[in-house]
Amino acid sequence: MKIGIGLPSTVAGADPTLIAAWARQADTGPFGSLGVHDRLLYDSLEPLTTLAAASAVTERVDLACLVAIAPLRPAALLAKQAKTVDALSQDRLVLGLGLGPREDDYQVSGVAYALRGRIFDQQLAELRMLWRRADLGPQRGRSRPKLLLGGGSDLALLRLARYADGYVHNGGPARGFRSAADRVMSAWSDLGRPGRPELWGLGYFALGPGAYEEGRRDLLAYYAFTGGFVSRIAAGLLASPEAVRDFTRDYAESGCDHLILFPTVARLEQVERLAEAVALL
Amino acid sequence: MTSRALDIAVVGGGPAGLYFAVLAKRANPAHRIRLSERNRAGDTFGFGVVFSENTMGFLTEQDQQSYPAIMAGSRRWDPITVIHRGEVVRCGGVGFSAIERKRLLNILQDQAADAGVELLFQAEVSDLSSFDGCDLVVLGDGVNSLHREALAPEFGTYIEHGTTRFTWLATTKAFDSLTFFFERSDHGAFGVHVYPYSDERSTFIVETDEQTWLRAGMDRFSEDDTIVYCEGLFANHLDGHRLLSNRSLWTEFRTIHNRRWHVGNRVLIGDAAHTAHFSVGSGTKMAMEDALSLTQQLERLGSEVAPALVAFEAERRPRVEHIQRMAATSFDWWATFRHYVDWRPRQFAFHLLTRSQFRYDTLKLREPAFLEAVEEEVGTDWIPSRSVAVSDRGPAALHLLGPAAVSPEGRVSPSDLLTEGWGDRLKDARARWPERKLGIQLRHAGPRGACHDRAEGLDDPLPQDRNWPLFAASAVAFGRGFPVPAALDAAGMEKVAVDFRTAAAEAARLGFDWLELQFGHGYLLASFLSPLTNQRADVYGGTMENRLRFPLSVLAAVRQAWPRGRMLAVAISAVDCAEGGATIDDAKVIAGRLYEGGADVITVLSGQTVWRSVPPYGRVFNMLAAGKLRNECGIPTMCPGGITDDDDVRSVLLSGRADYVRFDSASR
Repeated sequence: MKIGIGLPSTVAGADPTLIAAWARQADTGPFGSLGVHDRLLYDSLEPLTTLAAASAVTERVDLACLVAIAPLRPAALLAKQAKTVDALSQDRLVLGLGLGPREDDYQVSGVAYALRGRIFDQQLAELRMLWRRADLGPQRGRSRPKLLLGGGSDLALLRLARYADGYVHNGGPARGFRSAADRVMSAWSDLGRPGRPELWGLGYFALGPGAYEEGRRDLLAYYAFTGGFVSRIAAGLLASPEAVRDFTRDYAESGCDHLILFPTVARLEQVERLAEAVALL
Repeated sequence: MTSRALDIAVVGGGPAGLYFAVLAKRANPAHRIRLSERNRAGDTFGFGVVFSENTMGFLTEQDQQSYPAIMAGSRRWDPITVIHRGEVVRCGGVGFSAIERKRLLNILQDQAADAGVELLFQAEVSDLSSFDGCDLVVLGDGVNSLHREALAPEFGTYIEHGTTRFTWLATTKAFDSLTFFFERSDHGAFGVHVYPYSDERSTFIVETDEQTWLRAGMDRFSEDDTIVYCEGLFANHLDGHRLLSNRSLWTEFRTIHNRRWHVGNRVLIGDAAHTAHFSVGSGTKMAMEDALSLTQQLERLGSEVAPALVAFEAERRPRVEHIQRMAATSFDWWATFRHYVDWRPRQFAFHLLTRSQFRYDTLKLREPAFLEAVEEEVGTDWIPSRSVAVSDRGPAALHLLGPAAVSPEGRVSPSDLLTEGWGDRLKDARARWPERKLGIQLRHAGPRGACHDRAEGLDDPLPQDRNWPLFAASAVAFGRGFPVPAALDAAGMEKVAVDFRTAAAEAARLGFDWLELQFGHGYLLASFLSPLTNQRADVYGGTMENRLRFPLSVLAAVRQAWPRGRMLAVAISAVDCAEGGATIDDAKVIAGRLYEGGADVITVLSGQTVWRSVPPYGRVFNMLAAGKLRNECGIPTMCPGGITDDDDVRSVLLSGRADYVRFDSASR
């Protein structure tokens, strides 16, 4: 299993100029990827443009968008942007797409929340055709980025097996990841796809003195919209090297291929601290 | 943050209404909460209620006040006990608790009074207009909710009526755990669910199918008749103890669904909003979770009622629907257990426990000793001989190659195997898996065909300059971007049957031991079988008999060329997994006719017959359908789908739900 680190692009109050330094440092470290989340109405950065910036200062790591809320974006523009970041980074983009749970992001985009599933279905079919078009450049590199889909419904699994290269989980204990992965695999086999889908997981960390409280506040703010569930998300915050070790070991044993740990504290020393924790594995 | 004070009316003093009143008043003592209950404080019906312990865990986290008191008044136990044909089979590690319903209500009534809820008993609410001035009206008036019925069109209420008959009794015998037992009378098979709820009482639910119930004359039974009949039938389980009744009428279970749980400021909670068959023991749990969720959403949204009701439904509906799905499969077991009552006791118990949420792997974590007992009874040596592989994964006695197209225009993708390629594949497979027998699957593209190879994705039609003509039962495109297939004509049918027969003859000549015909998943023969894709007006469309006609003639053609003594399997999409599509009842007829028509075994698939069909993916997801065809219709089945390890194999084979299992190609 490869371990990646998130960029602090959805940590409220983070200094945007931190992104480049963070990405540079992660590229030298033990990490396999850099991850970003997507949210419109929040003190956060847009994911694909953030990854474009990261691509300019990195050479090695995968650039993982976990996940872009597809229906908020026109399919053709999304296809173009994704191809652009993939070309800029020399085939390092991992494009996770999803629906996102927040109605306000849809409202501000003028997209009907109630139609999001139908729009998404159409977009996935369009993206496949758009990426194959000879007149939609850039034409260097591969024809499309690696595509991941998330979601836990049977329909989401069907979409994944129909269109994508892998699965991205929405966080939480490895137990949940494991049963989700079993369902993903069953859809993949049932639809006769060769090989196996890549499995991506994610978690949240805050390491070092005082970081736990800060990180917890960040998660409570970011996930406040989930209601009673937010306390469970915050309870999963990895606040010690031991917690990081146990979490990554459980995910590795559950068949995860790439695990990205997202920061909840926007200080550069967090990269170093996570690198040290990961080095213990 | 303190939320705005609300004027709240709660209708119904069952667990849902009472618990909501308690929690909401505690969360914000400034709320005015009036609860109206039509009965007196001490009146209650239904003996004890049961909770599955691990699912109650989250109440422990969220509610430090009521939950400990409820648990203190409860009986708790760990195992499920199945008593069958004289043997007592136990499976531990499950964890349940039960409490007398009256006691639960008393605890909640006391807490409501302490919190400052206005409790009005013997207060029939005939008309909600008396609450017009309230900010929120919570309808917790139970499964027969009058107020839901009055607003049925607005709530979008629909009710599923169960096919069994059951009655709630109690007994003075305190059983030591959740216990199931089964007896045959002259009239048919009866099953009993029992659980203790105090030191001298157990809830005792008797269930049977409608025919048995009618044969026994129970439609005319008084409560006393029921007691006499059941005390006689279950005498050897009761040790001289009595059965007790309390409005114990025979009834059919009604599963309540509502498309909306709230209309204006009126919201349904608990049984009024949703029910799930009692065999999963979730009714009270769901009611209490509803109460907690509604309270939390009101608090979180600063007492803004409209968004809180939206958030409440959004949070609760998926969980409730999940339980309702589980309950539906559990209920189906109770509606069909008469087919299994002659099974050996441990396999019977394993079949019962794996009817819904448990599988071999989940039970292994809880009680390995139970599985060992099952394996001792059923044996395990035979398992590899019933396992089929499509990759290295095994052990398996048979390896299935393909899928192979019976003709170039029958290919689904350009790289599909054609007969010319079989010899090489066969040689490779023999070298690689010398211990496995070899089989091959044959198919012909239908509405689904002429697609890119699957490495990049599925259902991705080739551009016009690279595709080939598609044929189907009717000229209906499979989905977005697919060309419209031509409806197969008489000459086309003739050619397809000949192609299948020729391919089967070639497979026989090459020495394949097993042949499988793909009649499912949206290919040519599936398009005839499914009512969603067959719109023909001739003798090949319309009735089930007509839709079967061409598939049966292809099977007959293959049967001519394929030697008796070598296995011939036919794969069908047993359920279309799409609205208006084929159901398991259709599959019983289809599988039966194919079996009579010469298939030795039916491979049970789900869906993929139309673009929008969505199968219930997960481990062993075709297992229940395979089991129904095998055990209710006597048709040998092969079960593929969500099988990646030995635990999955055992889930299916030890529970007697299929004769063969097939490993998936991919695993974690």
